[in-house]
Amino acid sequence: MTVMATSFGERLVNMFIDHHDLLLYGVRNTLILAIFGTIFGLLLALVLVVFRLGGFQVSSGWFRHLQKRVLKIATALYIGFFRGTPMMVQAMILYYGLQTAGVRIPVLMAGLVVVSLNTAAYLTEILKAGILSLDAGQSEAALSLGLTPGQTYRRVVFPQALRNMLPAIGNELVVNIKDTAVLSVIGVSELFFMGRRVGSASYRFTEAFVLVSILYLVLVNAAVFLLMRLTRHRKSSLPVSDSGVLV
Amino acid sequence: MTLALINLTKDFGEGPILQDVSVVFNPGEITCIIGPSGSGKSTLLRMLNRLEAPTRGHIMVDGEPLKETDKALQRHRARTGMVFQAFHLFNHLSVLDNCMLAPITVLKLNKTDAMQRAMGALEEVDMAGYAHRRPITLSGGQKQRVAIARALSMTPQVLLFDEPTSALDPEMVQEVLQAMRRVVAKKITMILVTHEMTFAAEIADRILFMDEGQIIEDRPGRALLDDPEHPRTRQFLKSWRGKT
Ligand SMILES: Nc1ncnc2c1ncn2[C@@H]1O[C@H](COP(=O)(O)OP(=O)(O)OP(=O)(O)O)[C@@H](O)[C@H]1O
Ligand SMILES: [Mg+2]
Repeated sequence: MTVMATSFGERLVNMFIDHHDLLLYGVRNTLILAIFGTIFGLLLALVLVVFRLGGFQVSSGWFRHLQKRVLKIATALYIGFFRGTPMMVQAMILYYGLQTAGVRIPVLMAGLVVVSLNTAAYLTEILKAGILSLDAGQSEAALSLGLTPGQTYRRVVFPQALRNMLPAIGNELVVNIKDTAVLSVIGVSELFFMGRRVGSASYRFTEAFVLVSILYLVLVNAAVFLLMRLTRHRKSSLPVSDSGVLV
Repeated sequence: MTLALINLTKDFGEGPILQDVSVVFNPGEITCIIGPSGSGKSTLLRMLNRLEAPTRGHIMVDGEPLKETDKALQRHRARTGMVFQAFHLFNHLSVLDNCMLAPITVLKLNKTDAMQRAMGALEEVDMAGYAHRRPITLSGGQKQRVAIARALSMTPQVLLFDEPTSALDPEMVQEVLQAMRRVVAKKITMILVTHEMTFAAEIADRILFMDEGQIIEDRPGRALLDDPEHPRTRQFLKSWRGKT
């Protein structure tokens, strides 16, 4: 088989056939990083946003006050750092930091930690805006019934804020599918990293990265499609909890 | 439960909103509070269930100062229901779940008991037929009746109403007042901020007039409306009658 005899399209197909195991392994890891990174990031954001907003004032007292202030400032610094530096740099710091400290964890795990921490910083700000856009009367009504601040967040504030935030969370997932490519710098075998391996194995970098971009497009559009289905569903039939479904 | 404020001052930072207020609310008593806009009526009400913290002075429950611990405050709020001018129903929950949330999360009732209680409360305000509706599909009057049921489902000892009919279209006021008459019949302590003078005259054991953060006049029955003593009360009632 001579090189010139095959078209670019054929070479792409052949490359996928020859290296699909490597490429699909990359797809798998990219999906793990994006999906779990978004989920863990969201869970962390739910905690951080309470610190960020300072919680509800329940009882007073100077210790409470100090505790709240410290947490608020620490959270602001955290968000500032993760939104103000490239994820690539954050990955390097974590990777070499762990190495220096003598901690050995799988590199995929390290990558997941970076994505989660990074996502949490963005989602905290989005969640904060979502909570502030809710009528303060919602949480006041909950508190006036004797719910604790924690119960008020879990039962009343978060369910409503998250509903409004669903598109923003979806957007974060899509961003994560693409941006996890930078984790290749610490050797995470996600899609971009595997594309480079296929490229160097075959000496055809253009074909390899065109193939990689096609796979990214499939992932991103599948995610967008699923999210659109989910949000449309939400508008029509899902919204209200009846007789204790959420309780 | 006897609720009292003693030398209570509230200042949000721009001068006192409540000025050295002392007042006792006896068990079973129905108190109406009237007064001009900005006089501190809502702030006083919110102080009584400790949604606001005093700047100075004390909130007393059965002769003891209310403890400043999370537990004590939550217990106090669970026993002191509140109905807001703007309803504040939980939009993501059905009417029934609005009334079940607190009995389950706060009182730790099981679902069956909570549902029974919630349905009972909804029946009292004639809203049982709407149990599975979403709040946003209800009229203002219906929303406010659900809000009353939500408060009742906690079997509170005190119910605070902050202008419960002020946000309603005129034709919906009566249905809410009717629901409130049923609450009156239950002998729960009621403290009601209102501009419905006729209703106040009908149900009140006592009417207070507030102005500029102080209780200016405090009279039993409907005496304050029929025969106001303080010039500011007279002035307020005169301008009020002039308007309607
Ligand atoms: N959280 C707050 N921060 C700052 N000022 C406040 C706050 N809550 C109330 N105030 C001020 O306190 C004053 C009294 O308010 P309040 O709501 O108690 O009056 P009100 O008698 O209920 O009036 P209305 O009849 O208009 O409801 C107002 O001038 C208001 O702007
Ligand atoms: Mg008011």
